[in-house]
Amino acid sequence: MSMPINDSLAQRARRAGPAPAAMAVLLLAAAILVAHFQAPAGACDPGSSSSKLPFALTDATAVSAGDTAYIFGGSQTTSEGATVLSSAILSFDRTSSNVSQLSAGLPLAVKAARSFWDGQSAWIFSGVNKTATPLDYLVKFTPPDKVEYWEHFFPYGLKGCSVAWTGRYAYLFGNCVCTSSPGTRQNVIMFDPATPNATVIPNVIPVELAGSSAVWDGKAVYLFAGRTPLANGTADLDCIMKFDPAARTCVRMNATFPSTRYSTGAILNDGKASVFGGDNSKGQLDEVWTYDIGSDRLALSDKRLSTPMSSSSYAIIGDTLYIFAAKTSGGPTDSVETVTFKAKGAAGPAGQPVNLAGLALVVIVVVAMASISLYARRKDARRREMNKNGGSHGHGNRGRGLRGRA
Amino acid sequence: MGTGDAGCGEGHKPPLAGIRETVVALASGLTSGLLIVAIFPGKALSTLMHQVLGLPGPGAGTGLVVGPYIMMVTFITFIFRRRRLVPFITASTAGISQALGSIYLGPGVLTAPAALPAIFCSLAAAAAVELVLGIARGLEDRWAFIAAALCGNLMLLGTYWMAVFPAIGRSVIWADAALIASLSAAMAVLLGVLPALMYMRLTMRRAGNG
Repeated sequence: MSMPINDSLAQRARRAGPAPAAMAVLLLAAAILVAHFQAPAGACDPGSSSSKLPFALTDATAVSAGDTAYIFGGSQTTSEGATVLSSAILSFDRTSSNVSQLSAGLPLAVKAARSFWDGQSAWIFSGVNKTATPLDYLVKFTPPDKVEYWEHFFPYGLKGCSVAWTGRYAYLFGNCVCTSSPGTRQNVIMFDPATPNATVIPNVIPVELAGSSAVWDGKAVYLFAGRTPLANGTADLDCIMKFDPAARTCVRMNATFPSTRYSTGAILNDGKASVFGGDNSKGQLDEVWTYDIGSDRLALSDKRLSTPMSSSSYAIIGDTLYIFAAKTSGGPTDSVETVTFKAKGAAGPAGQPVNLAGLALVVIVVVAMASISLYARRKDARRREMNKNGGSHGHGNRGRGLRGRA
Repeated sequence: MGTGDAGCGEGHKPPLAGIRETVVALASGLTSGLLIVAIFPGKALSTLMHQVLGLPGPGAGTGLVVGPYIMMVTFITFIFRRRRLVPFITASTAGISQALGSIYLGPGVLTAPAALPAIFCSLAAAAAVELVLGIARGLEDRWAFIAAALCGNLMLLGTYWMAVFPAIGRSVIWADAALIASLSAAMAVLLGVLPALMYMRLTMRRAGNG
């Protein structure tokens, strides 16, 4: 069978037979069929604010109170370069982007504390003093300057726990990987600020947990990554866990991070959790992940933090996340990182952008297969024609075709 | 046995796989699929890709190791038994057994919700390999294998991105996708085709000596 070189594409395809075209169409249809297995994509716009803290700081904690964020304690780097624990309370005003130190301060200098805002007051707890001992204190700060203090409030010292405020109770998860805290890292503490009172719910978390982050979605608390002790060290985690306060159960979700991490930050925005930054064995991370709670899907945002960092002091005001006192590869920083969340355009049936990268690759492969089909058949036909004409013009049958050996 | 036992002339389709060829393809796919699960138990492959080599994800393990490995096994089995559907049976069995093995034999990266999509992806990749080997009758073996390896491996990677990773809550971003796809294409040729061509040359030499 001869095949004119200047055939039209349609003629060539017709001559190639229906099988390749049918298979290509089937594969493409199958690809489109699976497109409803779609992944969420993050939507955020990171950057650095022009605001500066009065000093370089790390390991602080922050709460959001309307248009203001309050930043508590931390490890402060002085103008002489020395590092001291801070008892300062800083106030960040979003409208003026101004950061100021309040006259009121914490009754103790503390770093790695945790806090939440109950609508009227900030509650600060957990962390270590200069002897690196996990602390059992409780501080209540009511703006502008009222500070209340309970020296031994919690049943044991806390550090590295995560906290989620449900509107009625705050839940504290895990404890640090340190010598004073065995037997407490699988506990959840239910804290009632109205009383105030703390109740330990023992052995709820399926792993010994430290350094996680948490969000409350109105029904359950979601815990992101963290760190767990081993017999001879520690292991970072890649898992997401769900704590149900009503059932008092904590289970692992299917979604996992592609790599382990701890000390991430997490906030809830528009029904999704955004998990950002953190540490792993290689240092700080600049990733921003979006966790779709409804579909249990985790997606890496195409935007990243302006620099790899981990921070436990952040606050979401409006649709903007402010990250204070981050730890970076360059040490503590006085800069304020901002991440603005906004809705993204095209969305699939599940309300999430289509995973176009996978779809595009499949389409490219199908097109490539169709091209190979046309090329191979054309070459085969030319060779047959040469053989038929008794030709041996160098490019004839070399006896090495896939079906060519008898 | 070995290369060239199909007994078909230039440009003609080889016969369909019979019972013996089907059993060989199934055994080859099943053994090789479970073997790679044993070689990389649990999250070992993910750790190697992301933590040791620092590659982005998801899909690096699939595109750089699992896919090319399946291609290699498929081509070697096809060289051993040149029958139609042998590549499809081998590749799909290997892909399915690898995916299900990693899900159910150990706490791997994939979890139960990914099982069904993984089966589909393995079938799609196997169909791509079978199709390309079928339509590339006019090409020399090496080019047919290269084309089939590229199409099969990238089909596996693309469908994994579309169906499998979203089922376990992961997705890929464009920048990472380009890098992973490029490396996967290179590995498909290096790991998938070169060993098969070496095996073919070896068997041809033996046949020549015999």
